[in-house]
Amino acid sequence: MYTSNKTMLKFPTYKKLWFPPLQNLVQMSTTTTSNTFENDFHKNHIQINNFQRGLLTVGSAFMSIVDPYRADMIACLGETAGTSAIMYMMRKMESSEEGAEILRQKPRINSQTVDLDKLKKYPEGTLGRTYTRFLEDNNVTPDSRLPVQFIDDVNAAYVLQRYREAHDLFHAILGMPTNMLGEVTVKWIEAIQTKLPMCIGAAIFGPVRLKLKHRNLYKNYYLPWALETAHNSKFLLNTFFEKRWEQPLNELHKELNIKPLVLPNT
Amino acid sequence: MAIVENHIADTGVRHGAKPVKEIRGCCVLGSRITLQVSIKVGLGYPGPHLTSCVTFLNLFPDTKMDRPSTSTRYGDPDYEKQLLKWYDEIEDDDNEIDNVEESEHDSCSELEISDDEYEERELYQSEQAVSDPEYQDNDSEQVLEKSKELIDEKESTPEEKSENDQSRTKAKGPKSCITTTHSNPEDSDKETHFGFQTVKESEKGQKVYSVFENVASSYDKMNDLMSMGIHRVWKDILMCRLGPTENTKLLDMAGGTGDVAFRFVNYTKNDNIEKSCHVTVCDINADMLDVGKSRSKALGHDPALISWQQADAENLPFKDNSFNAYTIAFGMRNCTRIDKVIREAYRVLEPGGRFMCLEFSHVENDAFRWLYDQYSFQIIPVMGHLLTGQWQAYQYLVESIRQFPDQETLKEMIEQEGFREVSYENLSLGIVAIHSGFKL
Repeated sequence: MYTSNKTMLKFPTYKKLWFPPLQNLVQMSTTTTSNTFENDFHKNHIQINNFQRGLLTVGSAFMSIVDPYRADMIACLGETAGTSAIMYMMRKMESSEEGAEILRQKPRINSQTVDLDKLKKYPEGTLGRTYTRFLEDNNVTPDSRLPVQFIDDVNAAYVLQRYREAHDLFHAILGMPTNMLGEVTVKWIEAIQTKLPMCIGAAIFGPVRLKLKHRNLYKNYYLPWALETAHNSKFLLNTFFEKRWEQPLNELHKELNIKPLVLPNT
Repeated sequence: MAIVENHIADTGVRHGAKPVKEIRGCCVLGSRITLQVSIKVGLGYPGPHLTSCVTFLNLFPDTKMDRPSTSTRYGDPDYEKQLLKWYDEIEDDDNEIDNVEESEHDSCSELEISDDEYEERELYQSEQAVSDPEYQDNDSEQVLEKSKELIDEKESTPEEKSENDQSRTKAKGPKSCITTTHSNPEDSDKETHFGFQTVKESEKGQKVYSVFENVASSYDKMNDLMSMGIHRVWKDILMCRLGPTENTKLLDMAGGTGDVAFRFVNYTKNDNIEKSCHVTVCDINADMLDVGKSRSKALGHDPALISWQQADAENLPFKDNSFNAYTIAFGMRNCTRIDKVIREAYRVLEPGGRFMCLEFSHVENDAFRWLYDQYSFQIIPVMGHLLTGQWQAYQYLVESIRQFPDQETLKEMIEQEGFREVSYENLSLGIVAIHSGFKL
């Protein structure tokens, strides 16, 4: 308490005042959203070693299968097992203009950053309206996404956080409900596009829990459609959703090369 | 050094039918040290030769064994005179040592200062330490506390001092490793530890509360998993050691989910004394108490035997001398001010009452401690996260165990607050310790 901290801090603060790194200057000129993600990241970051990472991977995989409603276990599995997949996702994002813009600005999707009331008033068929209707119908909120805890690199952590927050938007764009069937379908598409082990695991083991009626639908319609869409459509994470709220959905589908699923008898 | 005795005697031993002469010498090397030498020379064939040579360095020549033996010279007046001379010399040597000390003292008389002046100088330095923020020392905080204490002592008048002494004798124990024992009301901003973080004292309570709020529902399950069920044995042993008899009024502090209280009820039921016994379960966290209440209902306990009270251990809402037993199981390390908790315990216990604390402590054995550390830091937070989604709560748990005082320090803290016959018992090689003290 009584040690003279003056001498301890002198040199670093001197350095900071006289030679601000270029990065800082660039960050200061962009929007403040980049700071919020970094702040959250530092608040939630937990350092773990490889042994703990291994334990967490195995444990969370087990817990996810035993209790699929444990969202935190699914999230944990995604973080601990997904290093190479996250690198792949980051490369895909950097290679596209829109994706690179997202990486630079690091926008977040939650009830503070997205004005849901405004989006509700948009005309039918737009992305904004579809999204808010999806949230209402299925009784979910964009705040339910857990923060990334076990990834050490800020950019990699952001990619995973973006993936989590965009999951609901994928549901809205693809028109899939949040029951087990819809979830598995979306997981297939995500698994093929993002290569995350957690998605692959969920896509393969998820259908085990499907009821008989859904299993037939899954086998005959949903699964083939999911595989086709995943291979034909563009990388979904590269869409800057925040700029496209007013865009009509069919236009977005054309851009992303998605053909909505049409069930024959309905 | 003086050679006391030097005699040659015919020992009467015949070696090869020729006499053996003994030469015995005894030197006094200091006031308590003598060197005794006994050389036996054989005079027979092939000529004078050494038969034995024994040397003896004695550090306590006053004992009988160390005096030169009188068996061969009993009754010899010369020998007796020599013995007396020897005794006198021993005494002189004693005096010599004292003289040496005094002379040393005198030679430094220029540097000598009187006791009062020495105290004043110490006090001046302590005042400096308190007022001047630049004053630096190793362990500056401890120095500060010591100096504040010195000032307090100096300022209190002799009458006040005697009053304090009469009310309660406090054993002064070493305070070097205790950072939170000093009751200085101005220091509410003082910092304390929260696991391995440093937080303000005022914040710690709230942080601990939120940790337990989050884990209350899965607390018992997690305890079982982390200690592999051994925590049940620890609590059983605690109840055995307490050994409640008739008319025991137990205050179970930080006992939210009721483990210790239920064991108390079972123990008294076994001895058929439950009618006269009562346990009050106290916890700062209402969620933990709720869990305890529902467990009690599920187990079908008589609600008259247990009462539930939400309270802060540092500030109990009970009257003085209202309980005759106090237990705190695995709650002490979550308290901000351990000394205050013990003081409150002393207050609410009646004379003859027993204080018992079951808490994680330090493992002495190095190899086992390494194993325990690996288990604590690698596996427990992972398990906690997998089962409850709360990594930070379990990280806090294992860190707070390391920050808690060890067995001896806690014993001294308990003694400082006035408890007598304080003892501790290590369980599981020191992973857990039961401290016990009596208000006498």
